[in-house]
Amino acid sequence: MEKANFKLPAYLLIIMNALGFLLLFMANDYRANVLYVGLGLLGLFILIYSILVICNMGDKFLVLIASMLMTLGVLMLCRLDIIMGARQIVWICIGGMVFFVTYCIYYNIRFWNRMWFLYAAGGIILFVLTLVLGKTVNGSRNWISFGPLSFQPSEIIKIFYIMFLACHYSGSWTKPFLRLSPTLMTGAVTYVYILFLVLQRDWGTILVVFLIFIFMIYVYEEQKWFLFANIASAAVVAAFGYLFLYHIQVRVGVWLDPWADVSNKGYQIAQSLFAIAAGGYFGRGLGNGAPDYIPEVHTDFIFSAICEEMGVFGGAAVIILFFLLAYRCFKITLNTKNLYNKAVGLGITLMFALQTFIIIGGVTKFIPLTGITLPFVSYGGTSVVVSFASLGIMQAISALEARKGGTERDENE
Amino acid sequence: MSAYSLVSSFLSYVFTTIIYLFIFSVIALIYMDIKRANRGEKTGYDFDELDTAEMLEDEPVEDEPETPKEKKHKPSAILRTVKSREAKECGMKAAYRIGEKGAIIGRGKDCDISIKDMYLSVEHFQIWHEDGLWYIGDMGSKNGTFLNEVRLKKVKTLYDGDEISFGGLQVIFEEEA
Repeated sequence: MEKANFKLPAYLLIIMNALGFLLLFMANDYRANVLYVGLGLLGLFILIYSILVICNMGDKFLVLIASMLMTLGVLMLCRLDIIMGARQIVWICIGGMVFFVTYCIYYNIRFWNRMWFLYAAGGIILFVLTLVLGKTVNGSRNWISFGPLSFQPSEIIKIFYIMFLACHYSGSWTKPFLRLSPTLMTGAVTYVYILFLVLQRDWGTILVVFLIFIFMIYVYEEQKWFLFANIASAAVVAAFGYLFLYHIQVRVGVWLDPWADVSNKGYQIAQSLFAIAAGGYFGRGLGNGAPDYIPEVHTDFIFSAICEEMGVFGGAAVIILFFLLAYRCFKITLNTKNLYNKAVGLGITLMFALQTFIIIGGVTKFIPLTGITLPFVSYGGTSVVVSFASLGIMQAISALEARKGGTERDENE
Repeated sequence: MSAYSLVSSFLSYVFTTIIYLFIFSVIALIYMDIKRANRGEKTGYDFDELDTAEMLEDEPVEDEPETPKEKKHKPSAILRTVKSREAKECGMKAAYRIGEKGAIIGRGKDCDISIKDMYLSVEHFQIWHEDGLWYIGDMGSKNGTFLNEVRLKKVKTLYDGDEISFGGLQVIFEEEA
């Protein structure tokens, strides 16, 4: 059997970073700061990967794939706005720390499955805080700011929600609460969350939360009526939303025909499509395109910018990388024997996969657009940190499984 | 800026190549990981448990310590492993002895002969002795047991030299006099 070369992808990652930042160095009038920023990012990736390999902390592919995605994202952000890129790198540093902290906490605590009320309450408290202290950005009231620091609670709530669902579906929580069986209770909490999210007008998160719920029911629930009831209620709610909410009508209208009002409502999606088309197969080259025309290009529409400057092949590579990430997560989930970890793993896999699908589908006009971040790629502190935290949980799950057997046989290092 | 544009346009091809090489190398690693897992060499399995079955290190076949020497004609049989990569990968021994009581073969730890292969059921098939004859029966295994390349549907008599295959592994049944 040929030997696995675990170093090759790491070398490729290093070359990618080096070339990318040299190019940015050229674009920014040969200012040395750009190189320091690049070196910092590269050092961070190497540090995280080496710690994982040396300490034998479970799956080695997750961080590798995520690093490549972050490289693409950061290169794009630095090209759009070097200050924004530098800020993103600071967030990635914080995210790296959060990754290891989450890993250690999740790895060492064994009673996660008994705290469903904490997760539910934590989510609701964060929602109430958002409503009281929240700040409205782009029509969604989903930011809390403390001085210069601001974060999006809905990102954190997703993790709480997954852990809450996992408590029920792993079978650890069977006692009724207020005479409601856990099945109905999970449904009730889901709808309360969705109600709060409607109040915040955060449609993207609603879609992610509800789809995670539906998929979890599909996988775990034995009573099929519950699945069908939820799908039916979703259909009813969606129909009401379409009939009575102007916002949703606009989104669907633009999806069906962006050219009807291309200078105003359809502007964003039309620019996104122009950008993707302008890129061609190999792209126009980093810095040669004009992705600045797309509003919100640094968060939601970063995929269009990648398509323009790195080409359709670059965009397809991003999708393949997400495929690989989801595949690894599914594999870890399938191999896990601990039922609670299995459910949490499934939830996190679904979160990554659904978020990718929703936003990439949205910017390519495959489905109606809802604003949500592309994990690891988009600009946004909370998004990066929470994605890293989820990755840390996944990593801990894989490490728990690999070490429990006590026979970690890896002859590759 | 035109020099930059030129470099940038050229590098866009380089970037695409690097990203796809990266993806390819990761897929190659994952592929090898799957190949290893399919041979039962997965990290989740416990290999130290293998010694619980009655097994023999290599030829020649030694007598069991439990069998008293006085009773000469206690029936016993040997399952001799057909050498293959799969057999080696899941740690099968050269031969297994089956005593008078018979044996259950499967993936489970409680089986008399426990083989850690992905394609085996927990209790895969059973061999036992009755009135001077050896019998083999499938225990509802998912991937089936094959006697001389015919899938077992009911209990069959085993004769010396019969070939039993299960989950990609093969053993030869040898009756001991």
